[in-house]
Amino acid sequence: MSLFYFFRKSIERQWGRFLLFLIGITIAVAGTLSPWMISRSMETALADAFDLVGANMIIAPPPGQYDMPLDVVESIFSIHESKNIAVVSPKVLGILDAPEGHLTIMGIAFDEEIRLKRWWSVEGEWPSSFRGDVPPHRYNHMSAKNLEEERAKWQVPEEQVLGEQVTGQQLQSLVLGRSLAEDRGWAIGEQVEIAGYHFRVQAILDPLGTEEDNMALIDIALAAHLLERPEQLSMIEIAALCATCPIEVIVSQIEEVLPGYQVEAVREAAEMRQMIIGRFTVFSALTGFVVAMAGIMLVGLTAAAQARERQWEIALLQAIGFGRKTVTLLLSAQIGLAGLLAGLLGYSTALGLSLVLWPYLAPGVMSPVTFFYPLEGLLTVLAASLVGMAAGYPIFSQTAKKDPARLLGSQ
Amino acid sequence: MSLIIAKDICHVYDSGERAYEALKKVNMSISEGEFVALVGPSGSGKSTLLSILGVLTKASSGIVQIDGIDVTNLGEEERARFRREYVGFVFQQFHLMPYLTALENVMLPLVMTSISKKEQKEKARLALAKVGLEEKGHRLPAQLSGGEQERVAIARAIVNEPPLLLADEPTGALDVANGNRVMALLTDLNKQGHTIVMVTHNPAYEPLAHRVIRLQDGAIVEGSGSLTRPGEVS
Ligand SMILES: Nc1ncnc2c1ncn2[C@@H]1O[C@H](COP(=O)(O)OP(=O)(O)OP(=O)(O)O)[C@@H](O)[C@H]1O
Ligand SMILES: [Mg+2]
Repeated sequence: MSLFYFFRKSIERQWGRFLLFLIGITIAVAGTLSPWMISRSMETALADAFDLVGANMIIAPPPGQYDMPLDVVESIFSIHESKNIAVVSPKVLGILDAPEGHLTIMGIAFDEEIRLKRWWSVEGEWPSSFRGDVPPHRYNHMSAKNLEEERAKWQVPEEQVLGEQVTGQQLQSLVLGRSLAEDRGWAIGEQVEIAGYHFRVQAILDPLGTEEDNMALIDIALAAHLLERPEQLSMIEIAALCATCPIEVIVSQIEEVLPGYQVEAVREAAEMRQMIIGRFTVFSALTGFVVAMAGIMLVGLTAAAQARERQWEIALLQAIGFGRKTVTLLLSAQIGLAGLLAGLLGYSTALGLSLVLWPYLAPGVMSPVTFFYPLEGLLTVLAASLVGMAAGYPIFSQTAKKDPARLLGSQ
Repeated sequence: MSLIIAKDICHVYDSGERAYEALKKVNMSISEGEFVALVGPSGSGKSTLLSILGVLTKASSGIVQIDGIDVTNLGEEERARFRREYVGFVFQQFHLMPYLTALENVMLPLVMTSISKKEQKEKARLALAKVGLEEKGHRLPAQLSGGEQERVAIARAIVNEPPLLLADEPTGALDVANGNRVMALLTDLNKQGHTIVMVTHNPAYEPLAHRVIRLQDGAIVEGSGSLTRPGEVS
């Protein structure tokens, strides 16, 4: 019989007790970790949600120029951190003649713009993108390969461009700023002719207090055509998910692919985000700490209870000729091994719990979340084992120092 | 020839604020092959003395010599090795590992030796045979009667063939029939050469011993042995 055999049997033939111990530690570890995992993912989700409220970057043409080519969009998606780019909303700005005087036109991609400006509310109905059958998200992942294809869809169909066929054309979507709508007396559903095109007022923005109040918003491709700046952009607004990658990194990567362009982080957004996320991070670090302490206590107490239960075994082993160190190490190693197993079980349980609970705790969160971090898992397993041993060892070694006769006596 | 010589053994239990003197200058010697009964009222220090003789407890002061070796100043690991080679303990509460079979329990003291696994098993079987349990080696302690468990404990104590067998009320937890059987077994083992010191509360067993050492309030009041006897060299 070897020491290991003895060790194995003590677990095998007392699996009930061992299981209890295992469950105790598993609950401690899982109970500690799953709230932590969820709160950390909440933090990421919150950060991502925050990044989606408004642009955190603006790109403008190089100083002295008014326009930049459409290809810039493609360049933006070529950066290394492109997976963190949530929305790219290009715009073209200009002035057009209209029956009742000049109009400030902002050409936008309707889908992208509204994803960026979630706080906008409108009377009427926000139009969908001009690009018809092209799903909006495809725009965001435009690659060099399908750019030509995309661009073709951006072209205004020939029959619409020709003035003679104006009557047969479909009505174009128009969104008005509140002040502009009131100035001109235009209401929802009204048909307006601008530069030979027929528009229908689809929506009127609620007052914003910004330039948009005096603007007419139309599809970007049509605007570029009407302004006679085909495939040109005035500016691009970008919302990036920065929870996992700081905005400065994205800015510098874009600057690299677009040398000379003006790439600016929207400072207010960045600062505000930093403040809110920062607070949340401090909060979750604090809870993490408290909860880790509780976990260590629980694991420690469970291990200590186990150690106390086995005191007489220590005495007996000593009486039959095992050295004090051997006994202490033997039993500590058993607890350590159990801790290792329990840590593994506990971490898996925490992972499972987080995955199961997440949809209920954070409904509607779209951003993908990661619960599993291998290093964290490894640390947890090691910690459970070490904490178990650290809690068991002093008890074992103290017991081993006590007079064994006392523990084996008839009382 | 003396197997055990104890000189001026004092033992003080120091539990917090009050110290208790459990043994006061105990002197004794026990010869090789002797069967000694250690008796006395409860609390008189019997278990304490037994534990000191078995090198399990370190006396507060005094000298213990076993087989000519002064064990008083041995280090922790040496004491463990000494117990392994010289002493077999039997307790009133059998103290068998509940997760090991009878045979495995008997093998336990051999784990720390360099004996091969096969030989370990052989020795354990032999020890079990000596206590009449060769058939029940595969059983767990819970599947054995109290008397059988005590006999397994005795087999464990003798598996290493130690010269000295120390038994602390080995019949204390047993009925008369089982108690008698254990006593017969101990007598037998004594005849086979084991020196035995046994604590007992049962006066009926005293005549089975060669000598009775009586303790009272931590001092020997009867049968201290040959230490002070003329002609005995210490
Ligand atoms: N760890 C200890 N701390 C304090 N006092 C102790 C300790 N162990 C034993 N004693 C005391 O020392 C005295 C002797 O104890 P011991 O166990 O040797 O008695 P005993 O003769 O074996 O008694 P019993 O017949 O009841 O088993 C007792 O009064 C006991 O209360
Ligand atoms: Mg006693």
